[in-house]
Amino acid sequence: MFGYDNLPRNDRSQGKFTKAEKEKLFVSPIVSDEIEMDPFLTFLPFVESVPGTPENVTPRARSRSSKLSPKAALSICTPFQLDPLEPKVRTTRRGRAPSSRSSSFVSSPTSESGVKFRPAAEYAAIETTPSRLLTPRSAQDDGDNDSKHAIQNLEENLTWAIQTAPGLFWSKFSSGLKENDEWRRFDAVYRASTSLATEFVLTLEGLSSTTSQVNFCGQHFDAFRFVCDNVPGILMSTRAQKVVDLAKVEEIFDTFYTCGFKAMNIIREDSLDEENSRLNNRDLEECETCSEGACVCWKIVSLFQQANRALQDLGLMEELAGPRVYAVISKEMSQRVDETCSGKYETSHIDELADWLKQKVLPWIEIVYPDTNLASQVSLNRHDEFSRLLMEVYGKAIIHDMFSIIIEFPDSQPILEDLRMCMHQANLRDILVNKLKWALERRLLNAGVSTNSVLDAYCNCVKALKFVDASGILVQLITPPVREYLKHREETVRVILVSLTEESGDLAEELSRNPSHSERKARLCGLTWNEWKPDPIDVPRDKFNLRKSDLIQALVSIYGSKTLFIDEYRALLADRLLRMPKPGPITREIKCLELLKLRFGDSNLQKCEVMLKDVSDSQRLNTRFYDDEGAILADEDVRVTGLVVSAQFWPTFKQESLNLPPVVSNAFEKYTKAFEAIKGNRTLEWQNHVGTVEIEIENDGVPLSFICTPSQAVIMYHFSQEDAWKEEKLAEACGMSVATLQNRIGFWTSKGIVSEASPGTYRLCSSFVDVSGGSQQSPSKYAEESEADFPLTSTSKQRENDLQTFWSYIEAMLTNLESLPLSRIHSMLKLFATVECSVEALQKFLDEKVSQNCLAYSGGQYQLPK
Amino acid sequence: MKFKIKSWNSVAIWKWLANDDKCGICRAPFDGCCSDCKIPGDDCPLVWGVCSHCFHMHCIMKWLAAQQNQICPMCRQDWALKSDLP
Repeated sequence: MFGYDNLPRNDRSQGKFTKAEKEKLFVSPIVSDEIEMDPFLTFLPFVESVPGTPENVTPRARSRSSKLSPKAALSICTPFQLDPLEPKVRTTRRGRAPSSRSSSFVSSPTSESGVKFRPAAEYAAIETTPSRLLTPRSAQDDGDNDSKHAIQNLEENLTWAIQTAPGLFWSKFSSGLKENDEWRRFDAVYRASTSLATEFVLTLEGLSSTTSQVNFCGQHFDAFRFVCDNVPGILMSTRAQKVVDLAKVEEIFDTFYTCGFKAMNIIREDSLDEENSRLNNRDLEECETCSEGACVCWKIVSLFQQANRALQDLGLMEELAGPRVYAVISKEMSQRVDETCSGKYETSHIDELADWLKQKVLPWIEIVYPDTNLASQVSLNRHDEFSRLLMEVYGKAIIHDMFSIIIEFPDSQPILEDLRMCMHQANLRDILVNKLKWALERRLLNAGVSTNSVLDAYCNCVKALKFVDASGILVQLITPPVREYLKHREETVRVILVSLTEESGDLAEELSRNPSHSERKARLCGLTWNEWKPDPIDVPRDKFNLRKSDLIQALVSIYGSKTLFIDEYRALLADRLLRMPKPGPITREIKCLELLKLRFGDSNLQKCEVMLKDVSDSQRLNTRFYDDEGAILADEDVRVTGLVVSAQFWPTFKQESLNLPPVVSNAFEKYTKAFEAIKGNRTLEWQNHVGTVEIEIENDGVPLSFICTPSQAVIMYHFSQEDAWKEEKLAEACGMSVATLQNRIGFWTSKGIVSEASPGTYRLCSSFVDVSGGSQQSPSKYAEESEADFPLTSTSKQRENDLQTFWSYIEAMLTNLESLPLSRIHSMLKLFATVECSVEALQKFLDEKVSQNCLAYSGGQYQLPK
Repeated sequence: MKFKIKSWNSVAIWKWLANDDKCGICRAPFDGCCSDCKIPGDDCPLVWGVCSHCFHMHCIMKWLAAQQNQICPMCRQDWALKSDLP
């Protein structure tokens, strides 16, 4: 029923220990002396009491202090040396003749093989109260006097077994329930179980000796067997009558086992000590567990052992105590796990914990389940069971801290290895998936976390999960929310690309790893027939092929297409190239591009390649014009270096007008002429406002150097001509709007070169107060310029422009079909024009059109205005 | 106040000096490249015919190779390379 009946019979005499066991558990000679005695005879604290009135013990206990030291508790339940004849006296009092069998039975309970209570297979079939069912019919059945007497005796015994004995048990229990002290509770369980066991032994002996077999309705009725089989049932059913709360019972059992465990631990520690020192000192020493006076752990353990044996014999182990054993041990385990490894992720703890299990827990288990010995299959199973439980507890503890472990990933490798082993033994996948998803959502996916951190955490997460589970199922199950979140952050692509193209960092390293090589390796791994494992059935299909993809593939697949990445990379690259003070060496960019080509394919990155070629070509041109021997422009005052770009391959430049100083425009013209001379039939179209200018201004003999944008330089040039300018006039001279001028001049006012003398009038400061503290404007400061200063249109703007080309398609669509919902427009655009845009972008575009009155929107449908 | 330009680094877009901006054959911009090329400019030059139409060199070569009569695809006049370039 509860696995109990499958247990092998214990052949060895109860209470007798083999020498080896004795040494193992009870090394102290004093205690082992006591153990050698029969447990039922040795520990019968209730024996003086009348059954049903067990309270006669408790007043003694109550008269003591409420907090009972274990020693005191033990003195209450101190074994009475009992004459083997004592039980017989009691049975006589209850009107039953002691038989010769009974005394032999009591003195050695196991001498009869049937004495061990064993739940029968048909236990569940009997539900009605057995005594009512039995007595009247059997009386009719047999008129014989002897038989009547037998039945009467049987009835009496049964009534006692069914009503009085459980009452005794529960009343002892409830006396424990009133106590708060853990040692008193321990005492209560001990008393209840051992006394009940003894009572039952007596009753059953009565049953078996007199009327063990009654012919009942022509059937053989074995009352003895019947009672034996139903002890747990009888006890549990009377629990309700006695109004004992099940939760309280559980609580009291918890205390009982915890106490046992504590005491056991002390003993185990002792047994590792020197034999002599223990013998001499232990009894006198203070013991933390027992907390008062000399250590009595040895006694506690022996009592604990008695109680457990009694529970086992009564068949209550599985029914009543079993779940509590697991509860207590898993509590102890999680406490232990917490102690060992909370916050320590850099080391593996699994061996330490396995050691602890072997040293501390398994001996305890042996005591709790007394009829198993280490060699038997059952106890091996139990060993496995508990080590699995430990793994589960440990695994759960790791999972609890999983987020922090992931953040510290490369360092936390040992503990992840532990987790892998735990997951091998216990089914922790669902817990891991749920907990980690929740932790990620709570701690990572909120607006306060920068995209960089989210991305780093995501990378770590993928790596850590791949480490735990190489098949990638965990990655597939856990990461989608993060990916979905990243998708909605605007700067994600940019952040990914920046970290991809950085000189060092996780992603950059990942990029430099040859993808084809790792792919081949992965394929080989997957194909080995004896390593292949089928997917768990509850895992959905791998939609993005996340399991096999590496980190970069996984990141790129966030958006489902490479185009977005490539466009963004182009913008990033253009940005970098334009920010260079002059066309210079670009080895790093070239290397990076080559690596990206391996990932995304040559054709996709064609434009970027042309961009890089433009830069190196321009570099060559500049050298030819200025530095080579007989260079055409070598003698020029103003050195204009040009970056000659192929417009079709670069992102579009913003249109902005700027009037250059004559010196500069002359230089530009000369440069153009020189270019035209080299490249036939080609000319240059200067983007006046793009580029970087290095100027030096000097006032009062203090030269100051600045690196600034052309427009800022032009403004300064005008101030070198005249000290004060009206806003409008200056704007006109520069060829820019007043608003742009106000924006650009801010650079000089912040430097303390120019000040706004009166609203609308700017004046050169008489002496330059250098606000920035240093005369040299560092290039990094320049990099801080605002988005508005950047000469290229942003990629999102550009995409919008792309959409503009499809406007005619949309118009035609709506003319023909009158009105269409957003999704239809999107799908039709996808069908006819190969447009790469999300529904959201299209919606934004269309809504803009609505606001311009080019479209009307009603009832979820777009239509042309009438 | 003294004002000195140490260096002026600017950006210029190169353009073909042509009377059109798209190749009549491949419909790609002149300052892009023909459908077979990857890099514009020197690697994919333009040629002018006497009829003053111009094309990507690769495009017109392909066109002429496919035609029996050597005519300009735009104006159907005989195709000949213009010798004096503008």
